[in-house]
Amino acid sequence: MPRLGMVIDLKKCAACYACVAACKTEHATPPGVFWCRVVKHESGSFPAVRRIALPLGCMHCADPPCEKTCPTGATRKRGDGIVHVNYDECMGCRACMIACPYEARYFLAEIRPYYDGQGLTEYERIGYAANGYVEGTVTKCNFCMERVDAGKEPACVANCPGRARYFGDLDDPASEVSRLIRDKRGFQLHPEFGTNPSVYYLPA
Amino acid sequence: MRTAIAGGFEKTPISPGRVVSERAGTRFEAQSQWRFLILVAFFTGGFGAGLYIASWALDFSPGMILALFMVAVIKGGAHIAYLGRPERFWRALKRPRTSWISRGIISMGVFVTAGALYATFKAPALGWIAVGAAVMVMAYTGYLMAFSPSIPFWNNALLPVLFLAYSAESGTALAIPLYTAFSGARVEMLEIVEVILLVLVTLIIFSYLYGAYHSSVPAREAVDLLVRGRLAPGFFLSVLLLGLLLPIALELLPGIGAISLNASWFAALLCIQGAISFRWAVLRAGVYAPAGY
Amino acid sequence: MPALPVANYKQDFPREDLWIPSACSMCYSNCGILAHRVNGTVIKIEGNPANPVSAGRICSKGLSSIMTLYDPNRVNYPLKRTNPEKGIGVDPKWQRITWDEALDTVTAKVRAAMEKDPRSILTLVSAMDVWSFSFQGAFCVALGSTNLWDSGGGPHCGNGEHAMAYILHGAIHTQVDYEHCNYLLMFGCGSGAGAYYNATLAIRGVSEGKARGMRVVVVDPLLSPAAERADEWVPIRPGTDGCLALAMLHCLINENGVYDAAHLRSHTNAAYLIRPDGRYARHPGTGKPLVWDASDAKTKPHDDPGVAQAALLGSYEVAGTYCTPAFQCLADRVKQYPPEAAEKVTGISAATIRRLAREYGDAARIGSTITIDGQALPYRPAGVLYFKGAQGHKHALLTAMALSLLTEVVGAVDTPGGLLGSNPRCLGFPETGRPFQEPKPGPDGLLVPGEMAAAPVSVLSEPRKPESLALHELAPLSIMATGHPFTLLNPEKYQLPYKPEVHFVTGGNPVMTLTEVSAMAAALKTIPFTVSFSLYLDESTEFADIVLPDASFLERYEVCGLGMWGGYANSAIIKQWSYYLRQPVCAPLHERKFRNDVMLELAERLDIREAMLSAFNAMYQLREPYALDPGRRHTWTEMIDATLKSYFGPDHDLEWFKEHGVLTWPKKVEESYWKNFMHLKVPIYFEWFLDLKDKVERIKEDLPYRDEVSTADLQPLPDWRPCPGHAEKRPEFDLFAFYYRVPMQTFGSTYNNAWLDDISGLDPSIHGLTINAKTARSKGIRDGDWIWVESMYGGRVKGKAHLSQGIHPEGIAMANNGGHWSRYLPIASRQGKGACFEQLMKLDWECVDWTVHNWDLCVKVKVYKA
Ligand code: SF4
Ligand code: SF4
Ligand code: SF4
Repeated sequence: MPRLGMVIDLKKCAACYACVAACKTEHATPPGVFWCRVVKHESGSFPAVRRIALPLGCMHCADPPCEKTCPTGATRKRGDGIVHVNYDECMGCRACMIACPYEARYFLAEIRPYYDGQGLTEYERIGYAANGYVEGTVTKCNFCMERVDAGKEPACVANCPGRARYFGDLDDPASEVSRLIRDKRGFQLHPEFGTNPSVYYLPA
Repeated sequence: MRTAIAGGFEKTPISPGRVVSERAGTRFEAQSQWRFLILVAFFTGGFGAGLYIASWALDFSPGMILALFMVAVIKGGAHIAYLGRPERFWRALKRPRTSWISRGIISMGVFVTAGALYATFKAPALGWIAVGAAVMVMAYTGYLMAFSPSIPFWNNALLPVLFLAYSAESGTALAIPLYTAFSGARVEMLEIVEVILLVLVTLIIFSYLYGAYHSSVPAREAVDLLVRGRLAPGFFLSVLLLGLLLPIALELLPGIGAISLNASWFAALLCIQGAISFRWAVLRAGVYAPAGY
Repeated sequence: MPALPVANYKQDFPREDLWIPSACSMCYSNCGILAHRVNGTVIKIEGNPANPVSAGRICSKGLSSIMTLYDPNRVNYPLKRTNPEKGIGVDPKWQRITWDEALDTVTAKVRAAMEKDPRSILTLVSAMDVWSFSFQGAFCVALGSTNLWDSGGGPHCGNGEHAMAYILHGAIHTQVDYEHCNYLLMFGCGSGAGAYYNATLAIRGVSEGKARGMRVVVVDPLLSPAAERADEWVPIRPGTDGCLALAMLHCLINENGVYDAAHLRSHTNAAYLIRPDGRYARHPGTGKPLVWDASDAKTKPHDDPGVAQAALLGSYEVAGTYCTPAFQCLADRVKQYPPEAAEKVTGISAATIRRLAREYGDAARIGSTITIDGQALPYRPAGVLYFKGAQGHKHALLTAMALSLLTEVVGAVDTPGGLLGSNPRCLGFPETGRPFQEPKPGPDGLLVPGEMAAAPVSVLSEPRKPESLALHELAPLSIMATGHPFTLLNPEKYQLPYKPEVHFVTGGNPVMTLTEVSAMAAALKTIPFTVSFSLYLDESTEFADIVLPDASFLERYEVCGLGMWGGYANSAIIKQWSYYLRQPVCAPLHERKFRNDVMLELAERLDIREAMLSAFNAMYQLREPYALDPGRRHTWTEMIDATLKSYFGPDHDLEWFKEHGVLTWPKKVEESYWKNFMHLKVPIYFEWFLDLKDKVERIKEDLPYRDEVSTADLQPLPDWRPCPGHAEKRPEFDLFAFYYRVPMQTFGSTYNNAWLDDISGLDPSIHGLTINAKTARSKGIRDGDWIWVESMYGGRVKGKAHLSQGIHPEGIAMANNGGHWSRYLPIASRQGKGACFEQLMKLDWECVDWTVHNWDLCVKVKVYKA
């Protein structure tokens, strides 16, 4: 069984937010929900200041606290390492949201239209249903499970204009992702939490 | 747009990514999921269980029944109200092997069932089971919070101990006047226990904050929020002064056993508000640093 | 390439599942896209991997275009105004009408205007519709009016850059050769960060360049998206980039002696001898400019093959006067800008300026060569890119000259690693040799750009007495002049032989994108009849009399006209030619119609079809047997079919393009790096500007507004001059406001897109006003506070303060063109969605660079809590 993982090269990331939009259109995520987002943080003070953009999403932790804390079993980890939520089992207790150190999870209290007060657009009508969103449950990145199962890369990887994102098998030492992590000093976010994320970053 | 994602019945907007502060190149985002209803549930759970144990020690049925009611109806109700899909609440029982929520909910069920049976049949074994489960109910919220690495401020071994002590302290604080009001008798022993608990809680709070401050950057940020930041007035006034120091003074100044019933009610009130404030402060000070590395 | 299912226009399949190749138009980059349509609904837009323009990867705007397609706030039916009163915020009381009624009204109004004077008809285009410029041009020609304008072109374009790109590269704009560049110096330009031309490919260029070790240095008052990912950010006082460039030129030429003498001799006029009066010393017989051959100490015509060593420096006696080579003139000029002086102006230390000049000069590796496809070419892996930010000022032309000369002196132009004109030379599709264009030699051996539909700026540009609303005749270096608000508000003064009667608005939002908002609104009001082809009832559509529901780019057919092809779809960073089609990914919804179809219908009704089709034939250079027969009616798709066949042969017709989407063929070395294969020179000394100046001065003599026309900047060498903001001395006006671009919005046009709005919310700098944290605190402003930004000219805007360390202490920055207020744009018009910079501007010639019609975006403001 492979362990699917992602590498994001911060040198190549342009903070263009295309991955955020690619994810949105791939999964028709409702307003305010960003399975994939980019956060920036600034350090130093003028003029010696640096701002770093960090694309964030679910880390598909090898040791996922969200899965452990989920009382219903709606959150589970597949054999290939993908952590996902089954909307039909989730009861919306949000314990997983508290447990996730990476703020990767969103609670869908209700699905409101993007054009508030003007009804769902034709796209949303189809998109929300097709993705099986259930009000009152928690949602998050699923590593584009459907695409991956069909042999494609996740949408954010396939579209990244900076070619900053790579996807592959972390357990295969010969894979591109493993090679990059080895050769370019790849690191995980918050390794001290013991979650062992499957998303690695290459230094800017 | 982001207001469309609202927290259950609270309807407060959640927005992961809401930066509360930045320091040393780390960006902090506030925990926004656990707010009012969870506060009610967690507090009533601990408080009710504490009251139960104190009442059980005195063999004081009204106290036990009140405690059962609080845990079953208020805590249970708040939990169910909080769920996104309340009709699926039974699914929470499925993962006791890994999930502290499952364990807590099961303990709660055991506590309420055993407590109700004990009230009916008075079999001592049932009482012991209920008390055991009550201890679990008092402690599990601490374990739940301490278990997750996500919020380093909570991820602290003292938190379950602190919640346990706080629950016992607030429960006992109410048990004292309640018992006197019902039976006309006073229990000096309980007052001594209460003072010890109050001092203990104060000490644990300080060592908890001290430990957290020196553990990690986000935890330090949280402590700062509590003692210097937005939450400081509430922390010093409600938690420390009104919730701990004043009750100690009220108990000790007249001498043990000499506190009047009215003063005793007042002390209980102070303790309860202190316990609520502390829970609230800890929930609010939960900050993530998702982007830190 | 796998065969893609053919898209069917206005035809529904039962249970269809199609991927339709097309082209994005959310910005002017025109990325190749694939649209996924299932049972009539577009469910995804993604990049088309088969199209090198995107290579399968597009930006957040293109991905979010579905929301623009389905936005419930789109205009879906023809509307007419029932409230005759026009004004900002005055409800036009729209009433739905039929297409017939709408077209009847328009026809009658246009016919009446044509009878009076066809020049009274004005057509507004949007910079996002570059593929339609030629079509709209043909329509205007047929009407008999050349009053075509692009409102945003004034303040939001790189007017100085465009002029320099035409003059120095024969192209509308430039790109850095990311594939080979090792040192990228950017001034106020967002390339590689989701803005600028070919936005997505530039991201890749910078990303892969950086991975290769390319050093990126960004000069900008703001730690902008581009600066954020650079290796070094050099904060600069707003409006002083030209001064920095001049100081760097001084370091390169006078301090370090770093310049590419061989390049300067063979490809520039650096050796041309300049007389004390500033003109070329010419051969008495042929009139050719002379150079000094140092090998035999003689003057010779510049193109004399016998010149062995043309002098670049020194001073030589020619026919009794001392003449200096142009390069010596430049060296003398930049001597006036030593780094110490520039430090006082720019706020950048002299040491830093010297270091930048040194790094840049070293990176250019003068003298090195690279062999590509067997051709040894000069290798100059250093590039300078600048755009709106650096030159969006009063003295745009002078700043642009200085910045462009940085690449010219080190020879990093149109050669591997350097600055490339975006496709001035195309030898055509191998099977047909079309489209073909290349720069040609002009007067004095100087380059003249190839045939472009848009009038290029060149040594041939001539001023004339103005008859246009734009007044561009007096600004011959401008690619798109924008004098409209002046002339509309005061037609008598500007002596136009007609009064504007009809305004065709095909896009753009002039109320918000040109100048002082109230003045612009008043100017629009003066036009008696406005018909607007609109996607939205935006702030400018509020002034329309008839609104026609336009088709968005996902609902229409379009192909690129020749002139815009190289620059806007297929810039120099793409080393492959690609020509492709925009086709409807779904039939136009509701009663929307694409305006080209409507304009063809109007051409019939107005009896101008013959003229229109003839103009189209000329502009698209259609050849027999494919040229359109003006004698009969053609549909828009027939016209596209003819265009495609005329360019690419009978096999590549519309059906072929509908199925395959894109035709590609390799770009040759002779095309990418054409300069090395052609003997053309460009000026480093802009001698003919003196002639232009004289001519403009002569023409303006008789004009009542002569005092407003300033030709002071038409000088052969660059200088730095402060813009009006720098003269503002009232102490409370202590900050420079400026605007910049962000990757998830295109000017103001995308603010009602719900996804882009949502995404913009992730970064507080997008909807907020970015101000230096220390400056803000000294004013008692905290992060998130509502603030007023009040301009030295009086206007003010309100916004949310975003405190940052990443901005010059003297600056306050606004992202894109937010701050909408139309009640029909509920998302864009919510409070706190950015600010409209134009509210701070003033309609005054003092704020316009006459030479290139560039509007000053450097406004001093005072900032206080709301
Ligand atoms: S799409 Fe790629 S370059 Fe753009 S923000 Fe995401 S990771 Fe960075
Ligand atoms: S990142 Fe969060 S949601 Fe994803 S697997 Fe880890 S803990 Fe779970
Ligand atoms: S860069 Fe421009 S053309 Fe390309 S996808 Fe983005 S908006 Fe569309």
